[in-house]
Amino acid sequence: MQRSNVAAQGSALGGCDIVYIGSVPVAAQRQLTAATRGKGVLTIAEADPGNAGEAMFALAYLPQSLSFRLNIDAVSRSGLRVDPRVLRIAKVRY
Amino acid sequence: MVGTSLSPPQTLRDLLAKVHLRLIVFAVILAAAGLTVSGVTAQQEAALTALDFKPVGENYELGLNERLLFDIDSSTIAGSAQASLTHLTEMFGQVGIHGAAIEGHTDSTGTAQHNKDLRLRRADAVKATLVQTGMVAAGLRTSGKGEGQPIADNRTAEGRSQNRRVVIIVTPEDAS
Repeated sequence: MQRSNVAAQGSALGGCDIVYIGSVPVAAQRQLTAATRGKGVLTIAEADPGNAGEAMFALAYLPQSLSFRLNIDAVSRSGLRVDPRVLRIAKVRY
Repeated sequence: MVGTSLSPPQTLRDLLAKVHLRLIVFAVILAAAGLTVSGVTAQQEAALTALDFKPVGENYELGLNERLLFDIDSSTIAGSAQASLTHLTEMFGQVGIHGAAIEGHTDSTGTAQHNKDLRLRRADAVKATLVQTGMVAAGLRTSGKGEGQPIADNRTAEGRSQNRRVVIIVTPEDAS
C-alpha cells in the first residue's frame, strides 16, 4: 500500500484505490467523493456526522468507542461491491 | 494499492488511542469492499474471521448495490426500486440487520415547502415497502434532506433524476 497526502480536490486522485477524507469542509468532501464516483474507489470520511459528504463509509467517534455508517446509495454509485457482513463488526472500544 | 489521507492535526495522545482500532475497522472495511488486506495482525484477522470473510478472490454471496430513484414529483416506489428493497430486506435478514436510517432527497425544482413534504413522503414510502417486505418499523428512521445535498448536477435532466433519491444508511448498531 502506498500512502499519499493530497489537497482537497478531485484532480489529484488519479490511481487511488482508497480515499481517506480527513476533517475538511463538507464542500471539499463532496468534491472528493464526486471525483471518485463510479471509478471503483473506496471512500472513508473521518468527520462527516451528517452524512453530507456522500462517502461510502463515515467514521463515528462515540465516547470511548469507534463505529461507522455505511451509505448504501454511495456504495451503489461507487463501482465497488460491499459485503454487508461488515456491519456485524462489534462497536470497537478504546 | 494506493491510499490517500487528509488527516487533520491531532494530539499524539488521541492518535495513539485511536490508531489501533482504526486499523481493525479499516481491515474489515477493506475486506468488505473486496480490497486486498495484507499484513493483518492477529486481532485484525480475528475480527475478519468473526465476520466470516472469505479469502480474496472468491465471489460474494451478498452485496449492497441498491439505488432508489423516483420519477418527477413522485413518491411512488417504481418496480425496480421495489425489487431492490425486497432484495435489501432479504439481505439484511441474512446478516442480522434490523434497522436503518432512510433519507429522502429531491431535485431543485418545486417550492421549498413542497420539496420538504416530498422528501419525507419518499422516505416514508421506502420505509413502508421495507416493512411490507419484512423489516420491523421501529428500527427504521426516516428524515428528509431536501435539495441541499444533490448527488448530481441539477442543471441537467439526468442530474435531477439522480437527485430524486432515497439514501439508506446502516451502522453496526443496526445489526444484532
